[in-house]
Amino acid sequence: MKPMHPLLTVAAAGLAALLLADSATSQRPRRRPDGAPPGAPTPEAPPPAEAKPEPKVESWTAIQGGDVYLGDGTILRRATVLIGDDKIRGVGHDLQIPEGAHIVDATGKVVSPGFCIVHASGFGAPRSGNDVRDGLNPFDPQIKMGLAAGITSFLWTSSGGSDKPGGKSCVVKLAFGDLEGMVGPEDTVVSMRVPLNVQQMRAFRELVRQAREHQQKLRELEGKEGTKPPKAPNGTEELLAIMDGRKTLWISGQPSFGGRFGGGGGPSEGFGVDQIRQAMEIAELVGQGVVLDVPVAAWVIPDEIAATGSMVIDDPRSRTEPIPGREATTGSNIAQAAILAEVGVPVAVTTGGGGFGGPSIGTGGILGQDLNTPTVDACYAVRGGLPNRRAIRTLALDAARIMGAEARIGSLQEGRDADVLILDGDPLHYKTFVEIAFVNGKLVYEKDREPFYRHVQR
Amino acid sequence: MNRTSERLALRTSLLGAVLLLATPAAQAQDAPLALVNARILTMVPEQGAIERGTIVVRDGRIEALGADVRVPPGAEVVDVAGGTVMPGLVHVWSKAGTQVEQSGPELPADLPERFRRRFGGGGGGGGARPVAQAAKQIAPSIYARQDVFRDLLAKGVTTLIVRPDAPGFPGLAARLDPGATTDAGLTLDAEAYVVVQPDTNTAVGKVLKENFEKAQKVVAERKAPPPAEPKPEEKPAEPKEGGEQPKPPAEGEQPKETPKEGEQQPEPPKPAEARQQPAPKKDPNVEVLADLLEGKRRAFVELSSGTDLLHYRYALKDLKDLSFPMTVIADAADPSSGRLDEIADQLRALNAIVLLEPSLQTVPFTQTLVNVPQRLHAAGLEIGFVLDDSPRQLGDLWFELMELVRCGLPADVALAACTRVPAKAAGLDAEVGTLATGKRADLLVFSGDPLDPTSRLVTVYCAGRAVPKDTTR
Amino acid sequence: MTMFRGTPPSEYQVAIFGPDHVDSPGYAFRAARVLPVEGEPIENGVVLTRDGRIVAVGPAASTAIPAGFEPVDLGDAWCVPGLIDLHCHIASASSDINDSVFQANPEMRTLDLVTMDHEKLRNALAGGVTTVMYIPGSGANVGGFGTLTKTWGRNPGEALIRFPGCVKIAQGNNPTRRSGDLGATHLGMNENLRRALQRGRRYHEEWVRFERGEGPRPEHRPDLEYLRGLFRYEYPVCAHSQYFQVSGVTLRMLRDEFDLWLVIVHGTFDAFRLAEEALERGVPVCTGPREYWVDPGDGRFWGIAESWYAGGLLGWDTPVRGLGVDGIGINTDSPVVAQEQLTLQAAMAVRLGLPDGVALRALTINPARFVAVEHRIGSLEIGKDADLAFFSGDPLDPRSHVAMTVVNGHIAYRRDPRRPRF
Repeated sequence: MKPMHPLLTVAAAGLAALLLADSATSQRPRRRPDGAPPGAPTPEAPPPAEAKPEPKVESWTAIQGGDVYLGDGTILRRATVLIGDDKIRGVGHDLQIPEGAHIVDATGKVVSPGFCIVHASGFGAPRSGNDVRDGLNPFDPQIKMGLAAGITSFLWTSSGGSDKPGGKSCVVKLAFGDLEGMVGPEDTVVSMRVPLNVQQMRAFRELVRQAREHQQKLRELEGKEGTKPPKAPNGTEELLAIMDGRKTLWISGQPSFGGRFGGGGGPSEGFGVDQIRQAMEIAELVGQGVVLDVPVAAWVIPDEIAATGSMVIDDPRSRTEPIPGREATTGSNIAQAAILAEVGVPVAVTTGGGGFGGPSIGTGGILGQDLNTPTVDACYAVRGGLPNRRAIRTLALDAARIMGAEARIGSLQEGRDADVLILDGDPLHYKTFVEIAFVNGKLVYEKDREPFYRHVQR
Repeated sequence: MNRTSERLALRTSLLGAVLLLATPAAQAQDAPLALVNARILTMVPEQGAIERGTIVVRDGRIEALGADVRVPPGAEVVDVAGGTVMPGLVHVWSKAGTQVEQSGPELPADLPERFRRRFGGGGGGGGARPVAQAAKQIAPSIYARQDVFRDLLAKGVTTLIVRPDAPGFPGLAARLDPGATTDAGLTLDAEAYVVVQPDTNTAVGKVLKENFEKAQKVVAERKAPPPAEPKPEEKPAEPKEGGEQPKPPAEGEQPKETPKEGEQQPEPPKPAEARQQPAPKKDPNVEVLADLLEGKRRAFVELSSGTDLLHYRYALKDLKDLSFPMTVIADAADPSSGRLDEIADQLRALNAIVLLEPSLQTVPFTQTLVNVPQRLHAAGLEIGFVLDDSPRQLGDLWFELMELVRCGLPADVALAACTRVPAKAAGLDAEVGTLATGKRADLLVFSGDPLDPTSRLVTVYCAGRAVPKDTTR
Repeated sequence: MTMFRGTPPSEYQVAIFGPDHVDSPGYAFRAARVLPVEGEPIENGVVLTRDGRIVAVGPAASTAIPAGFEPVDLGDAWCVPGLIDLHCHIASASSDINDSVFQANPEMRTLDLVTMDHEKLRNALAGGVTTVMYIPGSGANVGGFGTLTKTWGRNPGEALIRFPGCVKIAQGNNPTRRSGDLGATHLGMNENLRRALQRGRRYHEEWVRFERGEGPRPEHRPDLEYLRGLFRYEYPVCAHSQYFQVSGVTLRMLRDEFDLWLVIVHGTFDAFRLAEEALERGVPVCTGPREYWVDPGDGRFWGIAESWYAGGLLGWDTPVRGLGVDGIGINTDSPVVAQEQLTLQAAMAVRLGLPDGVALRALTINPARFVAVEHRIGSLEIGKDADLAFFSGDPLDPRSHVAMTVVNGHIAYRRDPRRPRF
């Protein structure tokens, strides 16, 4: 018999970290068009835990004895996650547990970072607007339902750019009952779409040129006292933020038809190779990797995508049939996430929009096709060949990167937000339930206290 | 027979009112009134029902009440026949008469504004544009003898305070005499309380913060006047006298002064001295808020849900030591935005009376009912009810109370929540809300227990006078 | 449960069947684990097939592979019987399945629409689905007659198992008339359905009298002919029925009143509270495409399949009996849930409490039995159709992929790891 969960049955005697070959830091090659090293602060590597002033912590929680999924594909067997107030203060085996810490026994359980959802709406967040706080409802019961699904944060977006970057965004955290706790990093993401026509592309290049010129001026002024820095040319603010690495650019393509309704597809390529290549051109122009927002045929040119340091949001179940005769370069591929991950491209998963099973949560969907079980989409990425252990990244570290927020969320590391799940099994197994969820270090969900799943016992 | 005499009495007083114009109706008083053989619910805390008691009313006030009170000679005696007498309803959060009624040919005077409210955009929450007009009185815009006042009175509302409605600081609420027959006699207090209407959007939050901030500055200046100016402002001339509670009027029904005549301009009344020297221009709206922060006024703050409270606190989080006499109004409960019982601790920290809807709520996704008033009461909060403006729905109040009581709310708490507690919230507890010697004789006579579904509201006495039965509908 | 299927006819008069078997080469499929469904799991097993049928099933160590059988080694894969979906709309390149001008259309049939070798069926194969009941939509109370067909064949005739596979009766809200016609409410819909069935029964009875020599030969009525087969128990009613009240009507009308062979399909909402009523009437249930019901009373996510299966309190004060191991099936209503995600529906049912073993039966032998083709499909037994699905692991786990699908002894799908279909 082939064991169902080989990872869980591995004898955990030594309790050492099982490090993957493709661990978080060795990931994501970044090549700049000019061959120069990345100038902007690359947000991927968490700052090493260097000496810093001891944080003054009011309350400590130690989750002990569980198998700890760090979110980057690493698992620590029977380790401890130490939470101090709203942050993670340590993860490991030999942590000093402060006196008076609240101890949570997670023996036999799995501890994982809360899931980060790149496409979602609801959860008390307003439908649109300039400020996510407008109408934000921290008591929205949907938040509890999201927590039951393991979701602790998602990217709220409002409008978006078309032929140049734009739009408002905010990482919304499912901090039930806590208004300020719900508002995570703001405006980490701007978006635009391809294809651009010749004229639009020319205008975009011109904008990039102005932005570069402005950057040059700033550099010349560096160190000179008393000079007022020049104002950025009109319309370059978002570009400059992208070029400086302060914001992440998401690029979506022309939508294709088909989706999950049993295929069908159309003659359209959707966000196919040509459009992806244009997005890559944009990445080269701005000198930063971009995020391809649900491309259809990124699997055809994984190396080109990897070369720009770009990332991909994948919807493994949505289906675009290839154009007859062009099967090798058109159409979707459930192996896309696996193929991209193989060459080091970070991938997040999403569940398809439109019709049944759009990216939402609630009581009206079809279990398995909506955010009530976001892990299912990661499962389908595994079905397409993504290594099981790595698949957690599609909902954790890589998803957080794609949201431009990995300094805060997506992994269990010292200094990150204490968004922690305790699960009753492998996070991606279909029988697994979230038993407890912490957001910002606060206990916000307990399976046994909420009506949804407390009757399911095994 | 009795009925006719009541009518007559009313007609005479009406005539008198017309003749004397500004003189309130309760002036010319007739013989004392004695309600005998009554079960009296005084609503005084800790005081149970007085069985087979008597209430003596003279000049609109309760002269005596108790089980062994003697009926004074010459009194008109009404045998209640074992029925229950309780204080009149205290309706302190009303919009009755403030909106032009739907029927009738007149066009709403505020049409453009209403249009803007309905169709104007705005952030996720709310929609209407926030205002900062804390000093704006609603009283001048209301006229007397509207059907709704008469109907509310007939349903037992003997104390009525109407309020402006807009996000931010829409102005000052007005205590009205629902039985008034002239515009001049309508307003008993044009500055009953300051209305604060937070919202879940940042635009309103900004207005709240900025204006409270200004008010805090004014308070600081009042305490330590800038040295440059020699004694610029004397306290005594504030619109409201003295520091403490908004006055129990010394004498009967009389409004302190007949409310200002020349009410054309929306400008609120200014302290008399304000115009004398060209002192730095004062914003009356900020002055009102400064009074509030000094405890000279009270505010009713509309916070219907946990989310409302969070947004309110978020908006004001940077203001240090912001506190003022406050009543929480929860008139638009939304169980999906956090029920008040879920934030009972935070409410308690506000140290405020909470006036909420007298109804059960449903837990989201379920049909589980929650008795929020009961839970808040159990959590140690003082709760009262916001009442309906529609006379028809107000008639259902008693059934709503019965439901709440059946689900665990103590009956005396339920009844006090419509009488004593809102009176206290509005600072009127010295005058109305309970039955005691010297209080206004606002009485509801029921054929049995008010919370018995077979009981009828037999008679309403407002300031000692029987309110004519509603004959029109 | 003891299922009611009527007294089986000695000879079929209305239904037609596809070929008994088709020619196929000899294969010896080896897999790490073979789940025959009827019978214990076999570690490192082989399944021998030839001429469209299973020739042998057993452990690799003790099962001799005769000459002429090509070995096909599936490595670590698990072998299960090809999966069966009794409620789907995808066996045609066309999506033209709702003709709802009339409330009852007993003359309509999907048989003529069936085509092979199109994307929808290829996707079904990539999900391990080898047999589907291809039915009309739910736009009318009697949508027409469904076709029980394999998902692969060189032509529709070869793929056919039986026509009619069933009659599609839809209740609930879908068939509600749009204008003011009779049938704008459940009152009219029930009346219409009842009349249609009465017409069919009278026609059937005329034939019975004629066959007994008690009456004249009835005029042949093409519009009632298929209903006649229904009353002869040649095939069942598959009733799209999902709410408590609606399914109550379904059970009473179709079982008590017309005494028909009945299968409830598309059992998605709170009809599970009728588990005991269905059990007593011998009516099995296929659930899906939703596998949960959020109780408006207490907010819990009921597992629908689990509730039908196990019974229990189901919101009532006294426990009701459930349908048990044999009474539950799972369907997708594809394309509402993509056909290739049939196993996901089962996984979600298991997530909410259905035992794994029951879930696998609900995808294979149970639906086969519901429509009386368990002698052909639904388990790995000698003599049955060689319909096999090879999963890379636990077939219910969405992480497992289908490595190969075999229909009638032919390899109908083989996964290309670089460009897998699913």
